[in-house]
Amino acid sequence: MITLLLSIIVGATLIGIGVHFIPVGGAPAALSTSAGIPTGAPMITIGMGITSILVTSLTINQSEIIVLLSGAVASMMMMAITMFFSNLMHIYGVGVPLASATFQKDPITGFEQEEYVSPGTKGHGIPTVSFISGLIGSLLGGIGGSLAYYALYTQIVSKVTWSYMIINSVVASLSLIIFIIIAVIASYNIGGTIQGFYDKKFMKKIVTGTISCFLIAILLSIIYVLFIGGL
Amino acid sequence: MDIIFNLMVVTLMGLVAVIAGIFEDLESDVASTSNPNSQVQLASEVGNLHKFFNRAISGEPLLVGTMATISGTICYVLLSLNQPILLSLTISAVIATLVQLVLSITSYMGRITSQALYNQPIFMDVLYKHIPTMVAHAFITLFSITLLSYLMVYVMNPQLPLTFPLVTLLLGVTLGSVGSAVGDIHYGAEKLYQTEKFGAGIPVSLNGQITTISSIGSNSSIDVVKFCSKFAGPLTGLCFGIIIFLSFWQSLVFGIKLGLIFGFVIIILITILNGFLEHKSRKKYGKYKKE
Repeated sequence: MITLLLSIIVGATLIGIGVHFIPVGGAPAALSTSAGIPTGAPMITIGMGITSILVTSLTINQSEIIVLLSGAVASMMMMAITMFFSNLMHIYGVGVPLASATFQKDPITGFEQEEYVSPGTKGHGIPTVSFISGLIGSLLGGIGGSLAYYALYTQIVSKVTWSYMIINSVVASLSLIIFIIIAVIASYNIGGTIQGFYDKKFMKKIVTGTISCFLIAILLSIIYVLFIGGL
Repeated sequence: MDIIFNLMVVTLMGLVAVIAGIFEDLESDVASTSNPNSQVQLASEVGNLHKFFNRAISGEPLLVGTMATISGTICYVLLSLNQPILLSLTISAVIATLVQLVLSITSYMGRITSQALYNQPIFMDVLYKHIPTMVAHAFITLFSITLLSYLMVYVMNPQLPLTFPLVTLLLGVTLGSVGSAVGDIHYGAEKLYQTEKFGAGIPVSLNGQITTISSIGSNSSIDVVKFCSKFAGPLTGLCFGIIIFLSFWQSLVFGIKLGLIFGFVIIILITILNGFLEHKSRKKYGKYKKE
């Protein structure tokens, strides 16, 4: 039970930190008014979490490290493909270069940002540094989600005699709830848009975000331990 | 033989996912569900009379997830009553579409009624014209999602160890989040502001000033769906199809451990490709002139 408690706390906190790394633009990004992924932080986090849950459920009988890595790869893959296609849409559908007004220069490609941001907007698309940040976020989210999944699975499977399918479904639902709650808490903290770790806003938000996600994670893990302890 | 069968199933899954993606995005365009709908709502508040459909009940992922779960649950019940597969899939998709239909009509009426303060009337022709198009797109989306979940749970080998209704929920939410992250941009940044010059983002000062006049008469959401079906829809479909295909394909062909390495390689390749794309777009479009 202690392992479960710790795994959920660590997993949920990792998801919470991961959400802060994902470049999210919200509704303004759908109008190319702001850079980032054009949907809410909870929505894209849940989407990413689900892909990792689907793949984790297939590899759950492997060793723990393989389970964690497969969850991480699945969510990174989902995030990479979505961000890439979002950029394709910006470039060929709207006809704008990828740039963000929240930083001066992209540290990875060295591209200047300001001159490529169209007047009156805060940027459009996902520049390389935000793209890498999104990958880091999905890596943390995927590892966190599959860690919680693995811990929940090993506990439940030792306690009940349900079929393999039912156990996995219960574990998947419980993991999904962790993703939803943590994503909402983290996006409350972000408050609108963020462009990944190179954004000026990131340093201001990450500490309070981590602490609040950690506190919520403790509460969640206690509820889960009580729930699974009573099975 | 087993691996060839599996590969064919995964390819079929990818194909069904492409169709689901295309029609989900187009459905969200014709019924104006997702993020750009804020502009349609704002339009009447800033004094632009419009004939767009207006239905934002929740985010796109939650709506598609809910409807897909309704469809999946009914299909699961029908399958457990030993009904034929195709019949179960069709009936469940029809019932879920009916629920979505009722939700759309009540939501449109409620939304527009609340905007009476800004002199935006309920146009009955908007309702009559858009509902059949919306229903057609919604049916194909829900049918494809239910079929995709069926393939994952019952046909794929090894089967996905999750129950059928749960898989429809998971896939519906993922599809919704992909649809709003990819397809919405074309609708929001391009079609709603077609009178603005191509090749720039929408400044905050223009919010609500959407294009309400078309070449013949007023602009409607049917025009939007025609416009978006040329680029946004197919791209969303391709995105969702590739996600579904790659997530399962690598472990089938290379085994789990090698598949992980291969997954990392694909992610790195996509990142490099994105870098090239960024470089190319900057070179081609150039800098914005300072005003």
